Amino acid sequence: MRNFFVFLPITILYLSVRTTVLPHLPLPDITLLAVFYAVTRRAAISGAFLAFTLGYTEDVFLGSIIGSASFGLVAAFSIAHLSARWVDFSETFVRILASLALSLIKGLSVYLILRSNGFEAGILPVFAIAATTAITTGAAFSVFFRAEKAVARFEGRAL
Amino acid sequence: MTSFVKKHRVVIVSVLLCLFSLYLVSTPRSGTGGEIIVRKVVLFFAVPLELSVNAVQKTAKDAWNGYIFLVNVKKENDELKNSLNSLAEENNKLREELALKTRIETLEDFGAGLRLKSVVAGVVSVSGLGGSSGWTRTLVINKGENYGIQADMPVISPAGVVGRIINTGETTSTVLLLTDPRSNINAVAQRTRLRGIAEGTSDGITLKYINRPADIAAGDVILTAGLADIFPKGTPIGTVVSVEDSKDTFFKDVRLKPAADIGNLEEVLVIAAAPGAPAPPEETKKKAKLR
Repeated sequence: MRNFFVFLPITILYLSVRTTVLPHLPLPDITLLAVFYAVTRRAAISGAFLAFTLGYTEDVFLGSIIGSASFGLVAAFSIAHLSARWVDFSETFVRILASLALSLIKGLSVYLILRSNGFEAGILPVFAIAATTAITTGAAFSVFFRAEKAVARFEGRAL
Repeated sequence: MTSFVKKHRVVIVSVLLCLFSLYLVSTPRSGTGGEIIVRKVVLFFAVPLELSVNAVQKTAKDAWNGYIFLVNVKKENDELKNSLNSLAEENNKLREELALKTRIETLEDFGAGLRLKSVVAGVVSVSGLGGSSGWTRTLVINKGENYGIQADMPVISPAGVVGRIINTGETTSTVLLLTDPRSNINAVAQRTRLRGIAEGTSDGITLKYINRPADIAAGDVILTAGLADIFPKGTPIGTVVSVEDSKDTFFKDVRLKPAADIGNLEEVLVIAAAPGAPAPPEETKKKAKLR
């Protein structure tokens, strides 16, 4: 539940900025990083629901086809969750590569959904967003950790 | 079975959520009732937030455009204003020069048409037009003896008689306007050829010595008669504006409006002499000096 308290406001703030101030820039996919962070924090079913909720919120904010981003994020969460059995995500470089891969998975799945529904979506933004997402992984994880810590302090529990 | 579900519950939930997402994708835009409610809830929070972000962005943008960016804009604005003022001044000068050139050309054409030797001169100052600065009606022009101007030379404009030279200096001359009480010009009515003397008065020109039975009426054009060899014959003096029988004499009281716009003269034409004409007589020169 703490994940929702931490990531939902961050996601809403991020989407607000993305849809108003910087609508034309390939900003890093904070929702994906949030889901990936949840995976690294060993979130299980709550992580899946978090992925769906954040994806749904993204779809609503961006005016996209409802279900497209939630599908992409849940798929990315599932892959990351399964990969966590064999891959050590504590390494920074591995995290960056994983972010890149998960961002591409999410972006391509959304791209395919949009194309299959007759939308003229471009594929280049998928790679641009994946690149910026990978680059900002470390900083985003640091922010998420601090936010999670602040919420835990508020709840009166140690992280 | 239970242990399988328990072991793979995350994957199962994920798959179910993926399927639900695909279901949402495949449903029509209007969506199911649940979807609409969730969407409305999200939008309920999203829209004010987006509006707030937009407001912050607008405030920041306004602050930038209205204050920070305007530091340079003000400087640029001042420079542009200075530039505009310079250009306006230059434009005004050019307009004035063009107007002056046009007026001089008009005067020169007029002078050439007269077949008389003439000098174009600019008006330097005018006195007595308002009636409050004495009873004299004169103007000073910027040409004098250095241009061969002498006393008693007629001064005209394309519209008509202006006056005559009464004093000359090296570089300037004084013109006695036809509205000055000292001015007397032999005149003739264009329509009836009646003769009279156009004399300056305190408030205009009077055509004197017109008998009561004479045929003269308002609107008649009065020209120079050319009897004194000063003004070229047929130059307009003015137009009759009123005709009344004089109470004291046997003549009519005829008032004229000067043909030349005396108050707004900027350049005049001084008639130096007819081609090949002798210089003005010595007596006339002396008379002018006495005046």
